[in-house]
Amino acid sequence: MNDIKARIKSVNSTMQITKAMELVATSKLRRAKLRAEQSEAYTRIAMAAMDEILRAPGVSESPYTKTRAGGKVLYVVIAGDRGLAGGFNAGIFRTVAALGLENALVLPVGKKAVEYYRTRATCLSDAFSPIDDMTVGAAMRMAELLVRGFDEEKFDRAVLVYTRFVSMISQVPTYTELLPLKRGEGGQDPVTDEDIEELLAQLLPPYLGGLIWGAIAQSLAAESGARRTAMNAANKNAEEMIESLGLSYNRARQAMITQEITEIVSGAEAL
Amino acid sequence: MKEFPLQIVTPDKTVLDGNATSLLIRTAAGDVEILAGHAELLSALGTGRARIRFADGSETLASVSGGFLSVSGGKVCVAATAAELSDEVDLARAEAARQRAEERIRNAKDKDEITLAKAKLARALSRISVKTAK
Repeated sequence: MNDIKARIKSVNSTMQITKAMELVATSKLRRAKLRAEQSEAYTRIAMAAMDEILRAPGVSESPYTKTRAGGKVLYVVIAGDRGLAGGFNAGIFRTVAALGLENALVLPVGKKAVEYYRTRATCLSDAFSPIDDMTVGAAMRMAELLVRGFDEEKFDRAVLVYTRFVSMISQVPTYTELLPLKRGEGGQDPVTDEDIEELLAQLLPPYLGGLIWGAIAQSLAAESGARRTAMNAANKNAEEMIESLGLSYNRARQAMITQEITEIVSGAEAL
Repeated sequence: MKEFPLQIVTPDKTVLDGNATSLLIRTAAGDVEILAGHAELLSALGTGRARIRFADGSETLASVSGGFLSVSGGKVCVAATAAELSDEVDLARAEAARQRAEERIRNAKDKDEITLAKAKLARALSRISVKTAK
């Protein structure tokens, strides 16, 4: 009986933790969603401008739109800082593994990603962690690092892997090609004071930075969503467990009382 | 003076969304002033001071660095990597950032470090100038 009592106590204290974590995840999710929405205006302007440039006939010679023969890929992998979020981090690592890690470089973002790839892949930098209080400046630095690495031919393609926040209960690991840029067709050279290829080179870092920042915002929202769901399930399990443990406890107590009565009665009879 | 819709955003906030009569801003090619009815334009932003004038004659300064300037369909969009209106600028912080950047330039070991520190210095100076040039 004391055993059961101890177990109920321990499950109860675990539930207190998971409950608190669920609450924290819910409030973090709200903030992360706001941030994701906030980044959309910037991304929209940046993408519209980039689209116009990429459809212009004048950029046909830019090194950023050329497909290179080498097959070296850089993955920008965005994961979380902490576990206990269901399959959130594992899902991202699996997606990267499915894309193929041989002959690849990784730029890990977030504590879990940095820890995971430190031993498993060649990292471009392990400075981008923790992700929780990352600023736009960090995303811009990543973009500059990317452009520089691409210029120096450290890699031939760059792919951004992150988790998209679809809804409270659905978070999907996904990836987008960052470099080389895909040329569009049928456009005209935009009106500008600068050389169009020069313009592309100047706008590339803020463009990529915007995309990375958007992905970070999405990933943070997805992480909180995943953690909320996981903690919610843990709470339900704990409640069920306490209930069934309570039943066994009562049964054990009743058995003890019955036994005591039997002993007293049979003791009285023996007199 | 005629007004035009102006939107200034960064990845993490909307700095300004409204109507203005003039926008003076530093692009990579130099300062440009945009009035209502400006031709279509796409440009990369430099680091520097921007001046926005409103219909009531008031004006505000902002520190803007890096990003996109697009004039399209009569709408002016500024998507900057960093932007602050003058009343948001914290002078003490900007001053500290300037000193840090200057120190970095003095102690820099390689070219990359110098480039990075110089960009930081330019941003700090732009913030300071927005605050002090009233």
